[in-house]
Amino acid sequence: MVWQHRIKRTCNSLCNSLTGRLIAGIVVIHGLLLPLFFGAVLFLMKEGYESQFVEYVRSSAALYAHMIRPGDPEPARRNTLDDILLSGQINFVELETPDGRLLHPSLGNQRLRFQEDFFFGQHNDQTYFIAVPVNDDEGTTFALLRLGFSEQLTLEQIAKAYRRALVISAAYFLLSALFVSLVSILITRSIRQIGDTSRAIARGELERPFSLRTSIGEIRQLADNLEHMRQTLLRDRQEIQDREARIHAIVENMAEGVITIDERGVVESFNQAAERLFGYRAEDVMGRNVSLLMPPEIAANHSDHIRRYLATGEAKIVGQGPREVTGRHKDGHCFPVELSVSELVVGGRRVFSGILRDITERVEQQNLLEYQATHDPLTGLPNRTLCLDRLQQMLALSRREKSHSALLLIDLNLFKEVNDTYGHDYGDALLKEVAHRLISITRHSDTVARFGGDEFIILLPGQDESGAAAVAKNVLDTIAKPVKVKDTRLEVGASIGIAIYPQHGDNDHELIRNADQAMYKAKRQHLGYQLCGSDTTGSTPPA
Amino acid sequence: MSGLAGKHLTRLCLLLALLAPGIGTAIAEEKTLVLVSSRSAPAFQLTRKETRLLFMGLPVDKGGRPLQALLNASDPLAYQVFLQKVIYMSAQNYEKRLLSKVFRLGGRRPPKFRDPQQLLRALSAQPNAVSFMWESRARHHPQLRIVARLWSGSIE
Repeated sequence: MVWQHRIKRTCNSLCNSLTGRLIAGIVVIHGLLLPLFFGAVLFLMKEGYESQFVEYVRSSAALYAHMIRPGDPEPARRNTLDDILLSGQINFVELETPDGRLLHPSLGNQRLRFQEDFFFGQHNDQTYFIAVPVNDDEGTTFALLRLGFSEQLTLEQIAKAYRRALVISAAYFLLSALFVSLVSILITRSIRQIGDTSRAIARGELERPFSLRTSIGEIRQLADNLEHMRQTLLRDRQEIQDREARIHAIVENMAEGVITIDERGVVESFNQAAERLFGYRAEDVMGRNVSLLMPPEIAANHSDHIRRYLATGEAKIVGQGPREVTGRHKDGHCFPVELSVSELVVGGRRVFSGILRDITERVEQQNLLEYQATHDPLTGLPNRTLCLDRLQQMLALSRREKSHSALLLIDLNLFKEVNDTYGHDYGDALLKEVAHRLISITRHSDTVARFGGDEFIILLPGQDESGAAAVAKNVLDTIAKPVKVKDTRLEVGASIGIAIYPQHGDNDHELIRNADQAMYKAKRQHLGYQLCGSDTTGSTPPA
Repeated sequence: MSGLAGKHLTRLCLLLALLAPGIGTAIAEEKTLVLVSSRSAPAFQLTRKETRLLFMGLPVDKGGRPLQALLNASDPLAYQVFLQKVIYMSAQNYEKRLLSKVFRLGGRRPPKFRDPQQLLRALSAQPNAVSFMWESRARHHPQLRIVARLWSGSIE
């Protein structure tokens, strides 16, 4: 079984190889043509030999017939017949009369029996028998000369020609097979070298030059083309490597972090800026999911976002330009980043490239500016702008919830005197202390704002008249307490106007205007506080 | 080439028939090869030597009329007997000689007939024409006259 398998495998490999097929082709072609060619040659040769023999027999026989003279005595005729027998290839001589009487019995091979032949090889007795008339001077046939010519020599010549033809055929066949084998080995060796080089090129081994010495033009052309392809690939690879190095250097030296992820969210590249941004080293992040770099509440949904985008193409970030998102540092703290994501197709795969910039400072700066724009720099309380904004929000909320809300407009008494007497430093210190005290007595949901100069506003969402009056009393009490500034005891009071939504106005201007009127009334009449449009008043503020 | 092949094929068949054991020995037939001409032509005699000269392409006159030789190749055995008994040459050499004679001396080779019907028609059409065939065959055609007996013997 093993031998059968090996033979089968060898036959298969031979049939599938160029050498095997060339040899098989030669065998088939010669197997068909050689017998035809040599058969035809042998046939013509045999015909020639036989024709030559018959020609010799017929002409010689006629000649020998002329050698016999009718008038010769019997011994002389006998000598002539002996001479005929000794000449050429004759092995049978006989002379008889036309009526069949033997004048001289058979000489030569006594076992032969005369049977006249008209073709070479007739009667299969290896002798060509022929009878020719012996005529006298008048042309009358007086006897028949019967001769037998041996066909042996001609048969041997034909057999020799057969053998030679066979040897020449075999030699020609073997030489052809040998020549074809050599040529096919030369060709297949070259093809094998080209195949080896092709495989090396496929493996990326492009450095070794390829040269093939062959006299076969087509193979040489193929080898030259392969070498040209290698050189082109080498040059292209070098260019790609250079370009990659340049791009890598640029990416690595970018101030922005660059992160590439695949369709599953797995990180494929992570530049140095990203390392600085997130505190991770590239090797720690690559191969892991990008949600690692996000706050947990965002990370939980990130995979769903990618899946939805891949399925529907609906994007919140991809291709939408810079977006402000939150990143998570390795140490766990979160920070604002500006992120631009674009989709690329690399090698038939979809990948996402994100460019990130740390915007912590910018956000802080924005927050500061915003704070400065909405807060009083002295007291830290919301300024007039923010106060009005909060007032509108409070009114909107009350309107929606159909509830009350109150606005307290507070004006300090004797503040101008403090400023004039002790200077602005004292006035400023007094304002800061009042602000502090107001914050300390209000709820977290309330707003205490410096409305201007020595005027403060307190917004009380959800409070009606009674609630507002209670707060107003509390405010009067806390402001009435002395304020110590640089060993100076300052005592100021306050006048408070109260306006309630919706009774005293359904918009900010109306409420402020009514509260202002109530406050002036309280100040003029030294009432402490005054509820707008009512007689409700509070304790008298300090002088 | 096809003529040559056909000739050899016929010869091969004949040989096979002759050499077949038990048949070759059984068949031994007396045959006579005769020279024939058209019966419409005046009777004339032709010696063996004249016959040979005529079929070698040389001019032979009888009664002031030049004779025309027609080669009968329709029967290979008769043709070979004729060559052996009259011409004393092989077929190849005979044809070579005829060709050589035409080249050297001009004239035309004796026409060769492979179809016996065509030969008969040619003999009838040309009163001066002579050809050879087996006597048994010649006797079947009353329009032919036997001019001479060329050979007689047994063939096995």
